[in-house]
Amino acid sequence: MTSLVSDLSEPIPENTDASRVERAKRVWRLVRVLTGMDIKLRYGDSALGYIWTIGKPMALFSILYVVFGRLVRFGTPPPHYALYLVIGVMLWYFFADGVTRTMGSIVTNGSLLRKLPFPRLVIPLAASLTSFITFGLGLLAIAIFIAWNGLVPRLDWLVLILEVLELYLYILGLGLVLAVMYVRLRDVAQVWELALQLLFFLSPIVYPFTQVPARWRQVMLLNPFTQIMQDVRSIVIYPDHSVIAAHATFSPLRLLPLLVVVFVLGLGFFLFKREEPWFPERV
Amino acid sequence: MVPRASLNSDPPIAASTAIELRGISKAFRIPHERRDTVREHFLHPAKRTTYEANAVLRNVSFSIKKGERFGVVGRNGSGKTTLLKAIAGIYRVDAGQVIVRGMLSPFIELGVGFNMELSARDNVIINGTLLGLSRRELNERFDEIIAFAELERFVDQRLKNYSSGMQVRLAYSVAIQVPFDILLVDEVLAVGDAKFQQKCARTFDDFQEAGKTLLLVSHSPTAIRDYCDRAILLEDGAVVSIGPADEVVDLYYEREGIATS
Repeated sequence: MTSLVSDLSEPIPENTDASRVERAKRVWRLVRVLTGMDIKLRYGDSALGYIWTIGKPMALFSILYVVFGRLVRFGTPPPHYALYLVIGVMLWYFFADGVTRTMGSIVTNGSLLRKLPFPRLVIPLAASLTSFITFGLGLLAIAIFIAWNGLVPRLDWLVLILEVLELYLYILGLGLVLAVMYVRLRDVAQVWELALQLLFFLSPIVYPFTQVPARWRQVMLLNPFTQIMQDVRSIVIYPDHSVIAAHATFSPLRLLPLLVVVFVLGLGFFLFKREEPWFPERV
Repeated sequence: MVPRASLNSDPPIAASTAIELRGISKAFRIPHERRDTVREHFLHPAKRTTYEANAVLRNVSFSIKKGERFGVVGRNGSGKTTLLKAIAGIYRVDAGQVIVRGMLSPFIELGVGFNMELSARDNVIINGTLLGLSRRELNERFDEIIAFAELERFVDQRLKNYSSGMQVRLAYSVAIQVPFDILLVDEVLAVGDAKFQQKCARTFDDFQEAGKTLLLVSHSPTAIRDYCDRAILLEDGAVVSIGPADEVVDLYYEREGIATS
């Protein structure tokens, strides 16, 4: 017989007395089911479905490429500018979409939270994974550009997996922090929208990073997104790391953005754990 | 905070108890003036005391035995649904203890939180999983869930095309196919048609035979009288009376000034 005692010092009571491993398995199963449904909801209604996954970032890419690659130029564009730009745009889409979805997930799923007891964390996890999968499907675009540019995959590209994982954890952490704030304060969504526009231009997505004065580059690299994007470009396009700041290679400074990710993720989990008992009455 | 150690010094729970509430209270905080804008928060970040506590449950204590059919009556806004949510662990109580022994299946606010854009099939998968069904159990019980709700023809239609009665039938079907020892039911009888009400009543009988506990909430006193052994009357979040269901219902009628039939 299971037994459940909830008093003020308990987290959300769980409907089972299962072991830690079984609980983790259950959470994983819930995340899988919810992620599958999220994807279905995202594409179920549209005629073109998957095409949009690649189509939207590629549309943005085309506009930026025409404007900044052909019409206006920041000095000399870096070699393989199209690939440079497409990597930036795809990563940006992942970042923007992932954080925005995770932020809204608790409020969007308010009716579930108000009616069923279950581990609340599965909701932001599923939302962020939906973005991750969407990004994974969009990688096809990058692959086409890589082939087009005649680049041959190398073994050190395996590091890219770690870079993308780092970006995912950053997205999850930031998304959790914002999700908790969004439950309390609906203005957060508006502020985040503005912050995204600002961040887009504060990250060297369209312009060559070398155009930025050196000391500002150090500051910009504190944003893990910038660091990760530059790392990815460096690994894929510029194996000799000649074009991008020396930073992309191993340097103690590389640890700083990593620490930012760890901090944001920790803060996200901490705030989420602290606030989750009150979600049902606040959403 | 109630220290964990206090659990030991409290009277032990009888083995025959399914649910025990010990002096639970719950208040919702209502801001005096809405301060939901960033400016307000930045201007007065420390000003957090302008909330008014709206007490919804006041020192509620009772215990329900295993296999019992227990009813909760009271007007709209008397705290019935809040009570169920506190028992289900959806709301955290401000004071007191909620002790639940056994697996719970909650059917609260007429449903299990469906997504209107998804089909009945997908919603059953989501909610069944959230309520603890494994993939195999879900496969085994899926047809039964749909059959009980009598929605075979509509299984791949989106929920937004369902009538509210159909949604309730589906939600109740899911809730009772989850392995449970205790079923929390909020107003299911008020929505379904006569045939479905009868069907629900029959499930109540089945559960009792199987030794399961039923907690039924309704603003319809006849339902409580017909299906429950014991009941409580809630008024303004406090227990006014607890006892045999018909006596509690009579008292409810009396206090509401309604002549009993």
